[in-house]
Amino acid sequence: MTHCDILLFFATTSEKEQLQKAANDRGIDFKKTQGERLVYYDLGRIGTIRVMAHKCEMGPFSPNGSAARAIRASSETQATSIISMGMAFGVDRTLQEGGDVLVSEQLRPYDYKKVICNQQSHASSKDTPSGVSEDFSKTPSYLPKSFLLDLFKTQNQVFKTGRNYSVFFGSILSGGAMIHCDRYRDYLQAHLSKSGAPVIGGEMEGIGIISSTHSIEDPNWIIVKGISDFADSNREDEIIRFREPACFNSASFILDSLRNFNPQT
Amino acid sequence: MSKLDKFFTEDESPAFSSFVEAWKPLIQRYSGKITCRIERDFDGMSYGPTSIILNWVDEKDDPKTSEIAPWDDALNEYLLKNQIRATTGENESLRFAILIRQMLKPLEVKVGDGYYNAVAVETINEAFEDCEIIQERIRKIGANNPYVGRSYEEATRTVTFVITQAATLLTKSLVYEREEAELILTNAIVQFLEERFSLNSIWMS
Repeated sequence: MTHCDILLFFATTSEKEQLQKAANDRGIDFKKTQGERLVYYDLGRIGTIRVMAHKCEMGPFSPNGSAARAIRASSETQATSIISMGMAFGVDRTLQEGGDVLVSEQLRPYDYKKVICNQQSHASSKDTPSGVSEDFSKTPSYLPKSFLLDLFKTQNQVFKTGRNYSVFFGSILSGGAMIHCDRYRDYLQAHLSKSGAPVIGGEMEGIGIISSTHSIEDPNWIIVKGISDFADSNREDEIIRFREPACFNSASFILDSLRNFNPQT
Repeated sequence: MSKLDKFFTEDESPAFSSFVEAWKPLIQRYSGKITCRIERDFDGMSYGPTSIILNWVDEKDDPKTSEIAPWDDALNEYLLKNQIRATTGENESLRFAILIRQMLKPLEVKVGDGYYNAVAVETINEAFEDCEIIQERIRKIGANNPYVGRSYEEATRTVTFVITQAATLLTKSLVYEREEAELILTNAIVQFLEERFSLNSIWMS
C-alpha cells in the first residue's frame, strides 16, 4: 500500500534529481514505488511523518499536469498534506538571489481576472502594452495549510545560520503562463500586491495542487520553491546557473524542516 | 467606573461573530422553535464552503428562513449554547463532523500530520471498536501506529476530549436521547474520516 502523510510534488527531472540528492545527503531513502495507478518515490518516515514524492508534468492544466495528478495522488496515498517544491521565479533582484527559497503565505491565481478592451486608448497603454485592461479585483487569495506554514516559519528561525540561501514568506503568483518578461512580471506584482501579502515570486504548479484540497476551509497544501530566475530576458542564462541550487535548496529546506520537527518536544 | 469594566463582566458573551449579533434577537424571540441547517455542496471531488441557515415558524405558523451565514465556529457555538438543533440527524452529523475537525486543528498544528493521523485513527479505532461503519472506514486507512512518546498521552487525551465534548453537546446542550446522539456522533466521525483520508474520493473506487 502506498500511503503517506505528506506528498512532495515536483514537475521536472532537475527537481527530481535535486530532491534525491538532498535526500541522499541526509541519509533519507528515495525508492521508486509503484502505487495502484501512479509511480511515487518513497522517502520513508522523516521524524513522525511518512513522506512520498510524485512527479507531474509542468504546469497545472494537462491531463498529467499538477491539478489532475494532485487529485489522483492524494486520493491514492491518502496524503493529508501536499508540498509543491522545485523552481520558481523571483520578483526583486535587489532583495532576492537565485537559489533563495520562497514559501507561500498566500497563493494568487493571476489567470483569475477580467480582461476588457481599454476604451480610453486603442493604442498601447502604460498599463498593458496590448491596449487591454485587466481587472484583478476578484482574484482570490488562497491560504495554505496552517501546520505547514507554521512549521516552515519556525524552522526558518532554527536554520537561519549556516545556510547559503534566504527564505522569503509572502504571496506567490501561480498560473499556466511561462513568463519571460519583466514588464509583465512587474505588472502582476504591482496589481496583486495591492491586496494581501506582498508578492515574492511566481510559479506554475501551485494553482493545480490546490485542486486536491477536500474543502476550501481545510487546505492541504503549501508551495516551497527556490528561485531559478527572475522571469525576464535573462531567464535563459540564469536558469542554467540557478536551476540546481533552486531545486536543491527548496528540497533541503523542506527535508530539514520535516526532520527537525518533533511533536515530542 | 473604569473603562476596563466592560472586560470584567458577569455576562458570558459569545465570541464575536457579526451573525451572532444579527441573529440574537431572532433566537431570543423564537426560542425553542428554531432549527439550523448546515449546507455544504460536494461535487464528488471537493466540498464547497459551509454555511448556516436558520429555519423557524413565526406567530402565524409561516415557515421562515434566515439569510445565509458562512460557517463560523463562534456562531455555531452560540447556536449550540442556545440549544438549536440541526434540521435532521444527518445534518447534525455534518455539523458535528465540521466541529470535530475544527476542534482538532490546534492538535494538528502542534504535532503535525503524521502523528495527528496516527493518534486520531488509533483513538477512534479503540473508542469505536464495536461500530462496523467506522471499522469499515478504518480498514481502508493506512495510518501508522503512533510512537508512544512524551506527546502521546496529551494527543490521545485531546482526541478523546474532543469526542467527549461532541457527545456532551449532543446530549446536554441539544438534549438528544442517548441512542440518537450515538448515531449522530458515529456518522459525524465517519464523515470526518472520509474527508480527512480521501475515502469518498471518486478516484478511490
